[in-house]
Amino acid sequence: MSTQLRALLIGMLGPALQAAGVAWDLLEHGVFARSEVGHLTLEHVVSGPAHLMMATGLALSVICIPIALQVATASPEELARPDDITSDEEVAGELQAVPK
Amino acid sequence: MLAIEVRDLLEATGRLPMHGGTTGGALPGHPFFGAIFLFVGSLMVVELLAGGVWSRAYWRRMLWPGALLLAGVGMLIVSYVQPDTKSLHLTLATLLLLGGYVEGQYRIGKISRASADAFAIPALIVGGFVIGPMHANGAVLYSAAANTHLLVGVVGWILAGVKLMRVHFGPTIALEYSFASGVMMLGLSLLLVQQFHGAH
Repeated sequence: MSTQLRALLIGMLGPALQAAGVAWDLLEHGVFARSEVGHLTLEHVVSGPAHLMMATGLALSVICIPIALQVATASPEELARPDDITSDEEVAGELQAVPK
Repeated sequence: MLAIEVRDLLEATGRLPMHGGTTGGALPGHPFFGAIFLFVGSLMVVELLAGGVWSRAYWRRMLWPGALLLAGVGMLIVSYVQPDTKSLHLTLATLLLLGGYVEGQYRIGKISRASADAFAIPALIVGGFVIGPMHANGAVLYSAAANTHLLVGVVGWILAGVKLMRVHFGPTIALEYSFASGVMMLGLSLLLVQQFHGAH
């Protein structure tokens, strides 16, 4: 995976979660439970799953956008994982190399 | 024809007990645990994408064990506040706290991944039973709350399966991504519990 794609995925993960939270909330209040809109409680505002998903996405963006910038400027050597994880291509190669 | 079926489906979904439960004034626990696992699962995906850049900061490496310890402390508070099913919540709290300790030991290099997994795999299986079939209060197949609880349990078992595959096949990128996105799925399933349940 290219460095730029990695950086893009890291940077977009938080906003994507926020978008999913907004869609969930719109679906809930606009389609499934329209009658609840007039009876919202503080408990619902604080603990509503869609709201928490948006908050999670926001927190994720705060942490991840600086990491995305670091990844975008990193060399391929710096992006290698410190512990040695075998890539799937290597595993596939080993399986093919096993004599029948 | 199709429009009528879609309308029926929307009406049937609208009749599900969304936020139907009550906690007697106390804030519910499921969504906050869901948010914690969704957050940490997302960060585990970022950790895999960022590679060595992630390890530049020590605190980032300790996020996963730290989140498990935080969830364990939260579960202890739930078992203190919640009048019923104390034993189930205490079991989950014990598993989360021990899991956080073991993962922390692995991250600081005191034990191997195999030793950490020797605890994690049984803990995920037991945790799946506790939060799934044992905690699913309601008639399975007829209660959305019971079904969503079962979903959380099944996700726990899937995570145990991913860990078992890691033991069998060795560490691969695909399995690491599967585990990280599985933790995100665990968080999402806990948020769904709140959507259809509302209580604790």
